[in-house]
Amino acid sequence: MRNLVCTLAGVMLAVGSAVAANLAQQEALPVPGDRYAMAARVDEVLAAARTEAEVQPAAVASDGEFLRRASLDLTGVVPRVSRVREFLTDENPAKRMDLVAELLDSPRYATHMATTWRNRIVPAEVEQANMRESLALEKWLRTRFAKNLRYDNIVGGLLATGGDELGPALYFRANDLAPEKLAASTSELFLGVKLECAQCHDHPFADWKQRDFWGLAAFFARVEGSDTMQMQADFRIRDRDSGEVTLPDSDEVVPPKFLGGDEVPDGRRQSRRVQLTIWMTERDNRLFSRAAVNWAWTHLFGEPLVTAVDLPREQQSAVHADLLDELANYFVATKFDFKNLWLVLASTDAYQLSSDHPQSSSTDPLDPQLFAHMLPKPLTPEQLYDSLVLLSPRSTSLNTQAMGDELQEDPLRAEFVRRMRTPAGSPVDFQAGTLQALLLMNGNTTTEITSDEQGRLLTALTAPYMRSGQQVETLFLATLARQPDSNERNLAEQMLEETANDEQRTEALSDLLWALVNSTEFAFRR
Amino acid sequence: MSNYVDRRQMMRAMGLATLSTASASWFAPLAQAMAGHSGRRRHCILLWMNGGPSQTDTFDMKPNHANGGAFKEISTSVPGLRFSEHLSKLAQHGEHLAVIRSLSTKEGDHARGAHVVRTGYAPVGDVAYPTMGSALSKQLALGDTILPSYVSIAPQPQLNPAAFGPGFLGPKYAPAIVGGGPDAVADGGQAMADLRLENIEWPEGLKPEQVTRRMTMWRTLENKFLASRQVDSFAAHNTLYKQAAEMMRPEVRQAFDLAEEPDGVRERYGRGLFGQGCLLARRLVERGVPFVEVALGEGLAWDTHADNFRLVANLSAQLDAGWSSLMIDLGNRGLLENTTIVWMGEFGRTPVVNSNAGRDHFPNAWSCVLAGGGIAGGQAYGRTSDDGMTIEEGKVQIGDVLATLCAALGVPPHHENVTPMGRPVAIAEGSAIGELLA
Repeated sequence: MRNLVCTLAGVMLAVGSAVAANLAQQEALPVPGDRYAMAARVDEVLAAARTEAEVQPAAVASDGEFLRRASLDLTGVVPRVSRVREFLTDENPAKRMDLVAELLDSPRYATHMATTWRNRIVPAEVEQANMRESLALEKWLRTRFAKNLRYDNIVGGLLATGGDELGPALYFRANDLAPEKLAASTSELFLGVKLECAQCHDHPFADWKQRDFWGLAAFFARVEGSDTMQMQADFRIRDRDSGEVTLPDSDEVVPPKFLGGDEVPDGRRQSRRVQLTIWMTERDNRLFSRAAVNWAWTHLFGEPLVTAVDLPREQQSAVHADLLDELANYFVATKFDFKNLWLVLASTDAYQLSSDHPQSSSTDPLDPQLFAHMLPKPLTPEQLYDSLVLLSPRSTSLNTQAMGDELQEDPLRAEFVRRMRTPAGSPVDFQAGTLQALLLMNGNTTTEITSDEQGRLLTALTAPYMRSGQQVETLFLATLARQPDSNERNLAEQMLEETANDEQRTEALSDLLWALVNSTEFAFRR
Repeated sequence: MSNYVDRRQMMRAMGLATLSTASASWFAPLAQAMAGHSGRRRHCILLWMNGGPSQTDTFDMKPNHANGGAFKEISTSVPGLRFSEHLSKLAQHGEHLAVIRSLSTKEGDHARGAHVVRTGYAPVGDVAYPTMGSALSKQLALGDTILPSYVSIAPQPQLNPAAFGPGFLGPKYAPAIVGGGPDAVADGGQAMADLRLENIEWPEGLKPEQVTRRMTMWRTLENKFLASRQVDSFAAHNTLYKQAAEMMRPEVRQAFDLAEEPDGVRERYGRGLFGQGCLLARRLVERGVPFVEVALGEGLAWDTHADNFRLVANLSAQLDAGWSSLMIDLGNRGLLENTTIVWMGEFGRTPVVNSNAGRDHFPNAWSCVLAGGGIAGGQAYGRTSDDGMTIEEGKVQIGDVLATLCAALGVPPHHENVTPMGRPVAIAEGSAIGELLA
């Protein structure tokens, strides 16, 4: 315990100076007038950094790559084959931005954001043990993303949850209602401050820094949950009138105190938890807006804009730290509008870049911080499942689930996701195991979509007027959002032509689909 | 195996042909690999009792007290060590068994209890602790077999999957799940339970030419995609699929094929999932698998809040047949001395019988059993009071039990794995109980 506290205290030192530096920075920076100006500003800064490093940006990604990328990032699924065809033939020069806007307006945007945030704030093992509440939380998030509710309001609603509301309480349960865990988690998730940051372990520290951490924990000292022993009852969060935290191994009570800020007297009107929530989500709280933008950036680019957002400013790359500030200012000025932020980030030149870069190799990879090419991310279990199911007849039920109010998870999806889950880590790391590959090769989900009796895509493909060339093309567009190259096309068409009858031909189609969904290309969003 | 696919055919299709000729395979044949490590090889078999078994009706009988219930106590092969009458076959192996009668834990909820017992840690939000099978198989694996290091037979993880998974160690250390048909043993005259390792065969009905077609197309896609791209994560994905294809080799399927066993042997183990699971555990241990888990009972079978005595008699019969056969066969093969067996559930049950002739959750004072390799058998460690309600002697925590298991297996209990956040986590926090170690 002492060790942990030392670590925490060490970090506090860093946080204090980060707060001060951030506050000082805020006034100096202008806020770009609109999202086009903001996107241009991002590219201007990144281009300067690349020039300095003497690195050329990658080529612009193909339309197919971009379509698949944006669809997976913003809606969590590969695009439908009809949309791919439409997009590839569309001559409109603004089609990429039109696509982003269209994706943000689709119901799957809210679904995907809700899943992504649920996974962020509730660990998988807690989620699995509390499926009903976990679904309630996802639904709670989904309705908010669907309305594009201000981000500060979403976080505020989560942290200040109470009354009969089902869902957000799971966040508190996931942290065992323990003040120190809630403090560590909220500061990491919403302020970008990692209290366990091992790099800070060696920082010198004084007693008051330890107090700073416990001062934050004190805001959660009076939180309690309804009876946890009743499995079926809905779990709710309340505030008691009393309850304090003490310094470890001592009886000394630590009063609530904002990170890098003032001690807070207990008010009559507001619980400590609400007081903290108000402070955290204030527009002047630089940590809050910076953390949100840095997360959004990571979501699209696979790598944070500022890697150690909680370190003292002088230890961050100045270029990136300034750019993050500008984006954070923009985010605040646009009233914490996430859709607007996605439009900005997705319309940057950086987001259009190909994932292939001539100067990057396994032995000598490019500095990812240059954002000179797109970093490939393995599909998440949810992205994989939803994309596979798009190819099968059950995709209709998935749509209703996305819109519906039922607190029932598709059990097949839940099982698939559980089996395919990899440990939390960088979104660009590939960490799957052999058994997961076997599940994709031979498991039910793949078998179902490649079965000629059930596969929706295959049923459509066996329509009598379809020729080999069209069939092969459709399979590639539906899975990889691209045309086959001549080699792939020849081999696939030959396989179809060599069959003796309709039954064999359907088998051959299913085999091609199997190969496509098990390919490395399918498994990644590039 | 209606659609047997020639291994060479598949390997060639996956582009492994050159590898095959160069070194025969990535992995030495199973038998050959086994020969090299006979001295160091250790195994663990976890017999997991879902729902929490009653200690009072199995290994800590109270025949002279009202709490004792309906069962009689019988003597074992070791004077003074006594079990339930429904474990008469196992009782003949008392000299290899060490009963711990003084285990005390703090969680009386199935999900939380399973987590504490199976990982050694209370469930908390900030660390995904690995289940003992993942942590121990990671230490015990010698890396010389293509068989999975951790095989879990008929697990029932639904209530708390986190207690059954690899946690922060990642999917590489996840158990390979052996599923099976419904446990039919309770019905009387029934078919032999059918066990199979999931997903190591092509789906039923797939023709050999389809396999060739799948792999040919797959290889073409991979070659094109990877040729111009040097990205570690892409290469890792490709390699993983090649390893997965290795797992589909006939030798692997054969290891899991109980049809190779004589009918008499299969009958002796018991027809249900547990009995057949014990038999499979023996086959896997013979082939070098370090950790095998066999679950007894569908759902929370041992959660006998009502009708305890009929249910426990039935479950005990399955336990007795499977476990005793395992003791005999491992002994005959010289494998018992390097195979440690653990018997436990998520908690014990109340010594007091409730108004439904049932027993409720009881984590305060309960029993588990260690047996075989590294264990000083023929003893009961610790003692509960005459009514079974309190521990009077030798109270131990779950961390101590897991540390003892580690020690018996030759694994340092305090070996630390590091979480992605950089926090070191010991396999077991606790002290090995010296009296229980051989």
